[in-house]
Amino acid sequence: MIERWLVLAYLLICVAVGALATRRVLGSADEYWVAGRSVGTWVNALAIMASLASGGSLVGVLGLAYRDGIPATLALFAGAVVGFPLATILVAAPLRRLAKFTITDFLVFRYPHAVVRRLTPLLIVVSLTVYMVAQMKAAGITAEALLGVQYETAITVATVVFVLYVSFGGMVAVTVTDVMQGALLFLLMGATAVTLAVSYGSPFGALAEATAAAPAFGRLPGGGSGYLDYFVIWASAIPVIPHIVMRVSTARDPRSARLALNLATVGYGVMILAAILLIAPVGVLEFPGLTDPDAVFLEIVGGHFPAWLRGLAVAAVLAAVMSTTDAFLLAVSSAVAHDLLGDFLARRSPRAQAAARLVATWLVGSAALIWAWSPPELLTRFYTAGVGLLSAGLFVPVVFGIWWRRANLAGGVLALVTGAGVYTLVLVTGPWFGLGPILVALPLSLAAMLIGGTWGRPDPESRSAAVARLHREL
Amino acid sequence: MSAFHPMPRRERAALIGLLAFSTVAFLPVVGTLTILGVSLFGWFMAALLLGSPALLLLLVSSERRSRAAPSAKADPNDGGRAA
Repeated sequence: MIERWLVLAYLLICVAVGALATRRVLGSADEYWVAGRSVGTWVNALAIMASLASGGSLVGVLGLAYRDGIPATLALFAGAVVGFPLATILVAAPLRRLAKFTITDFLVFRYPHAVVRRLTPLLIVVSLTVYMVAQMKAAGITAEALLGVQYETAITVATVVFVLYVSFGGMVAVTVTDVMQGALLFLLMGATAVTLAVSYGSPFGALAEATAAAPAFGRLPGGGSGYLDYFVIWASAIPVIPHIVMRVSTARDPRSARLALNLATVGYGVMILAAILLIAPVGVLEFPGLTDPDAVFLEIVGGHFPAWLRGLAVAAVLAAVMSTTDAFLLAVSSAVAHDLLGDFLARRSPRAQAAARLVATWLVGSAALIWAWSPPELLTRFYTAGVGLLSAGLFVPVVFGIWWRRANLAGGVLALVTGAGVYTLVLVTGPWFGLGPILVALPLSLAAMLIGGTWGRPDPESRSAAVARLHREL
Repeated sequence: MSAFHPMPRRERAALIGLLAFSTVAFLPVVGTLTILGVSLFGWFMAALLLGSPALLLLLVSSERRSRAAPSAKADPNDGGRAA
């Protein structure tokens, strides 16, 4: 019973945060989308860590390690982590200096063409909505298992709560709730890992016992090449994924953005390593033969901790889900209300703009909820494919648009269309020459950029000068 | 003039190092060796998980404050569309 009260209290706090932030954000697009670009380094780092740590990385990381072993699980998560240093080096400072809101803003600034203006937000809406549905499903399953609440009821309540605080509180509410959620996650994961390490006598006591009892747990026959696709998808997605780009835009300055990205990733790396090396081995030793590997976290918590801590665990899983989903919801809403309808809304009053942002957020949240009531199977593969589509289309145009002097309109449009098109084609037709979609699409997107940049019409001097100014501090 | 905009030397070195380390980790031979019962590939991934952001954190935190640009605030009512 105490579990339900803890979760209810947590949800009410989230709604209260949204209500308190309303007055600050509703009159200003800058406040609504990027919290007035005034978020400090540590707060931003915690918020980024929370939005990175999805329900999948809390419950799923332990289930994956339990089923597929340590090396395979580490490979899946290392790609996303490597993406953050790439984002730091390649995009964070120039995008922050541009002082806009979204990744579409940058691409339209760099390649002002109708295809870019329409295709980029569409890619964002499709790929991130798929991801949101996956997160909502994780929340529903967890609440059903631990609280005894019906799946449909659980995801409806959770969705109404985060749509409420996102739609009324914008990035300010998302930041505050993400900080709470990040802290809760970090504390829960840390407390669990330390408690288990103490009970096994040393930090790696359970790991040594588990790899001795089940050698397959530590091995990966054939090496990591089978995971290269996944690694590349996430490493190339993070520098262009919209909710991270929006977080970069909330920072006070480029240096703060770059520090926050890496502080967040160190925290996330510690959590993931603690889960894989300290907690998962306990599951292998104490709960062998589970039919549902994703239940291992809940089994460990149930077996080692009192009821109130189990309640916190449910709240932490919900926090992980909501902190990712709220950031995605804001990013998808911005793709609709800012990227697609921005020009139209710019001619309307601030009140009409605020109303449009609210409506867009509710529409996107409702669509995701309806889909989540009957989600497709193989959701992990489905949302990874969605994120892959985003990186296949955007990585080359963004990175080369920032760094390559000869990048031009023709190259950018060609690279965007080729990357997204080839990725979709390979996804539908199956691997080409044994290579998965991202490993075909990225090189071809790069080739398209080089062809367009070499033989297309050079950009006007004014645009080249504007891009050069993005590098002025380097 | 170079075809690319200039990148600080240390960041260029970090980028090349990260790509090289990731490439080596995915070589088939790395998956066959084990340490403490865990494949060397797994340890490479663990090193990337913690080492890559820690390296960049060191690089960025050692940047001089003066290189950070002042906050460029957009007009709250222009929808962020002005450059």
